[in-house]
Amino acid sequence: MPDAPLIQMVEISKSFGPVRALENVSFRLNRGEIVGLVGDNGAGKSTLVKIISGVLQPDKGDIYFNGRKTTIHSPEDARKLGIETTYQDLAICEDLPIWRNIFLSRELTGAVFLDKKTMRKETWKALENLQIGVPSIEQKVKFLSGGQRQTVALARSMYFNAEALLMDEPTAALGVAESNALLQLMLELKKRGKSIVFITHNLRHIFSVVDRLVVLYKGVRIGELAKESTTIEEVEEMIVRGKA
Amino acid sequence: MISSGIGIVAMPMSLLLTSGEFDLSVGSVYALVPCTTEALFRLYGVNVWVGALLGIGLAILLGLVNGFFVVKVGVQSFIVTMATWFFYGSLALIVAGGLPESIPTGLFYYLGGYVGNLKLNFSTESIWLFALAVVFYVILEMTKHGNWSMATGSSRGAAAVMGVKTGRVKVINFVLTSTFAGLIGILDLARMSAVTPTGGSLLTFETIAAAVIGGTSLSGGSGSITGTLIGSIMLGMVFNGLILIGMGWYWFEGFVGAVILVACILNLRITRLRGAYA
Repeated sequence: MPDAPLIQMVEISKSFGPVRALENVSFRLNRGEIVGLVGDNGAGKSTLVKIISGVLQPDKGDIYFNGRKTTIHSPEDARKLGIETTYQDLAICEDLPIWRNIFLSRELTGAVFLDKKTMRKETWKALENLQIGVPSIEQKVKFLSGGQRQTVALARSMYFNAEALLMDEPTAALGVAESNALLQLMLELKKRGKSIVFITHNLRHIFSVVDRLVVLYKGVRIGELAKESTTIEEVEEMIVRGKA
Repeated sequence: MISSGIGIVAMPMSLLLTSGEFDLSVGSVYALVPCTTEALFRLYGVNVWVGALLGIGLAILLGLVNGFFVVKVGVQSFIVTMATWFFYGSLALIVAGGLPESIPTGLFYYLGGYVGNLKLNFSTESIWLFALAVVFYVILEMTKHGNWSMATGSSRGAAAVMGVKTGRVKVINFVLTSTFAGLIGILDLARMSAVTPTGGSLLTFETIAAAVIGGTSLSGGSGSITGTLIGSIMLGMVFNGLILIGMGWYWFEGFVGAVILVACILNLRITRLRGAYA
């Protein structure tokens, strides 16, 4: 089904003990689309993302990938489908050089041993694709700037041919220029047909790249807005007051 | 050979340190394993080769115990291995009983002793050292396990999110460290044909010292087998050198202390420089 959404979630519910984190939330991500997921702290954004990325299992509801019903039991399952997540803390090992981070747990090997030569070559390619400048792929990540780290995490996701990228607060730790570069990069990825779920509190960042916004309030989806037909003020109002 | 004894344990210890844990119990494992081999021979007449193999099996078990408490129960490795250092040490005394008897020499001697004549000879332990240096270099630098050890020690959470089985990595390294502490115990038993249950009291700190001198990080994330090898040889040279120049080995520990501090300060400087210019 080529016209089916890349990811479709139907009436997802998730509770943690007595706390209802998500209640009958439906969510859709089309191909080549950037969707902004917004809401105040505790609205359920991260829970929803963790369900897509396989970290959490929903109590109720269905997930469709490419129109086919599927269950995502683990982050490995999600990756196999082509869903990559960049986490707020980036999940990067600071003491390791860039190329080791890119291939961590998915190392290329020869008959027995690591194929370092190919991994280094591929790392250059992955970074070139994203037009990121780093002095050397041998550099340990702890000596990189916030923006460079973010791009290493992105390069890792992209290298393994992600169809869908889930980005949880990717601009939170970045400076102004770095944020702008990252937003440009997201638009570039969209042009290449990738789909992105963008979670952030920064509405200006969201408005500069997304096609659509989904607003969550206390675990309930209270609105879905096309970017053209809304304003930052309106969305802010919805996030805070929970009224459409 | 001081260097070999330190090095053979210090290299797996480097791997363990790289993955973010350390093992204080090696000194007691070093004593308990050959004591067991010796006791099996003395009490039950078990062949020393068989006893040595059983000893290595015991060493693996002791490493698993360390790994279990650190990874599954979640107690810090400092506490766990300090506790097992006491416990294994006590077991060594119990197993050894009274005065240890000597074991038959024969071919078993060559496992850890000297080959050649009085003029020209070399120690089998140093062959073990260099052969194992190659093995551990390959493990750390050229295998997934080495890569995962670095990642686990650098950031366990991030490594786990990326799919590294960090618990298993640590347990394997605990087992390796313990196994080779047991092995050097066996080699020394072969060389000296006797064993003292308190013989390993310094080994723990010498091996960690050798690793740290060689540039392995105590906080995990990076390690070097070549560095550890050099560190071990250096400690051996300091020991022999002090005796040769007639200062005696009372000075040894003092020198080790000084060397550790100097080496660490140098390491710190070098890492900073590398970071700035990489």
